[in-house]
Amino acid sequence: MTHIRIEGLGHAFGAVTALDGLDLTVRRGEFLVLLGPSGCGKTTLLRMIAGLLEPKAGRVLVDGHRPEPGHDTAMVFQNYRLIPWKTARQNVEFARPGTDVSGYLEMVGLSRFADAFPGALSGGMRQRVALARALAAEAPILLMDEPFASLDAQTRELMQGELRRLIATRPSTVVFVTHGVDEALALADRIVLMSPRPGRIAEEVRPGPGMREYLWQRLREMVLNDPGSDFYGREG
Amino acid sequence: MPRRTCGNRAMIWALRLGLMAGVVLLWEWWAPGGLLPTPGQVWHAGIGLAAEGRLWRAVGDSLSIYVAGMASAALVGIPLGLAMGSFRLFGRVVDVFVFALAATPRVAFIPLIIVLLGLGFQAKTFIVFLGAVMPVVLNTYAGVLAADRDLIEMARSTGAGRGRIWRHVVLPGALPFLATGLRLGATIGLINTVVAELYTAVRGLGGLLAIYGNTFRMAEYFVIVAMLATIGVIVTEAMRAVEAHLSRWREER
Ligand SMILES: Nc1ncnc2c1ncn2[C@@H]1O[C@H](COP(=O)(O)OP(=O)(O)OP(=O)(O)O)[C@@H](O)[C@H]1O
Ligand SMILES: [Mg+2]
Repeated sequence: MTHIRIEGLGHAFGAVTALDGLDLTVRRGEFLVLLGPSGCGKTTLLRMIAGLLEPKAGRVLVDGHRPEPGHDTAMVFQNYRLIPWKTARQNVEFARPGTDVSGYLEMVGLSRFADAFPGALSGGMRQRVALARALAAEAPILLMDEPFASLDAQTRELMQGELRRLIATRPSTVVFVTHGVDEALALADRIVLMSPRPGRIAEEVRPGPGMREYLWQRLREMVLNDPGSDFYGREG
Repeated sequence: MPRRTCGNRAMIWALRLGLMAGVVLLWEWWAPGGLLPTPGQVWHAGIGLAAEGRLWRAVGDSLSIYVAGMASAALVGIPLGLAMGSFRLFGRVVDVFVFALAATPRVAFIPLIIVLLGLGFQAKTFIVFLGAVMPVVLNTYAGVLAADRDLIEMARSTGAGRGRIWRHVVLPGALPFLATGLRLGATIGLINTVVAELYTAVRGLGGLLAIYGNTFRMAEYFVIVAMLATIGVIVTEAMRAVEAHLSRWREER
């Protein structure tokens, strides 16, 4: 049942403690949303689950072994990260060398733009390419770092719907990072709330009635109590 | 890119030619008597030289050193720059020396080159090489170092190994820098071709420049200057086209 096991995870960038003593278990096929204020270590945690960043303390285990990028995990980054000199199709192919990726472009509705360079695509279209690339990897774990944060509200809602539709057709485990309460509620099987400085799991909740106000309240508290907020930040 | 938006190609070329015609006309009217030849005299001298075959031999001589020097600059400079950027320890150790060499006026080496390689083709080619290789190395190096960290991490996330990341992310990202290096190198290389022909065995276009200059045959002298300018323009425009082609993905939108 357990797909990802995270034990006593800790990491610091120089003097900044990004994560400290973080434990978390993700079940196979689960859609887990990591919710937390800016700077609480969500991206850092995701990079470690992906196997892109070696933890300074603790460990991440996928099916009992260290995660192997591309094989165990595929990632959608906060800022698309498309290769600008490759077309949409070539970008998707990059995750799946030597295969026909037309199906993935079709999944995200970009068949017509297969030969366009990223520079010619809108933000929403670029994010679709990035999603297609992650899907093409056919990795059992899909990691998504605020993939829709830079999209307008309408496009975001559309993409959320499409993501759910695409995920439903495959056995993926998804870890989805956001700082949007509504997005978390729209997508999650389970929501894990992270607190900042140092990044830790504050609480786990299941989406349901009344949760929206509760999560807003909790996030507000965190930002107000955060010693790294503007005023205290300048003092330190 | 501003290039696309300000007027069309034909109009720009018409304006360029018009400007040139204007300058030539002004020169024809105001050429200070005796000291400078008129454009008409230059034209006649040019036709004379072309018919003699002397001009073409000189062009051939100059171009052969130029091409040989540029080719060796590319053959040495590109791999060296790529290696310096890709193997960080190597780059860190070597780059100070390359910077130092690039900062030294290369004319300072000419006596040494003559001592070591003589006055012929080898020495001349080496002088061209020495001038052209620096921008090629430095720009290629900078291009590799400028590789996008985020793209490299993305590539790692797909399971790509070092070789694949280098081929698909690092090298293509460095290509526009590399092309700029070659263009700058080509300009310096042409200057050094003339310098080499003036300082070593006097031959080629540089040699004719010296001969006509020293004997005050100004009409012929200007023919050579015009020839060099034409070669320079053709080469840099061609390199610009290559650069634009390599960065064409930037121009979408
Ligand atoms: N490469 C890095 N070098 C130095 N500090 C870093 C680095 N990456 C993250 N940090 C620091 O670690 C902390 C956590 O960063 P992280 O990017 O994981 O947060 P986040 O929750 O993803 O934030 P956001 O919502 O703004 O994306 C922050 O204080 C950040 O400044
Ligand atoms: Mg982040």
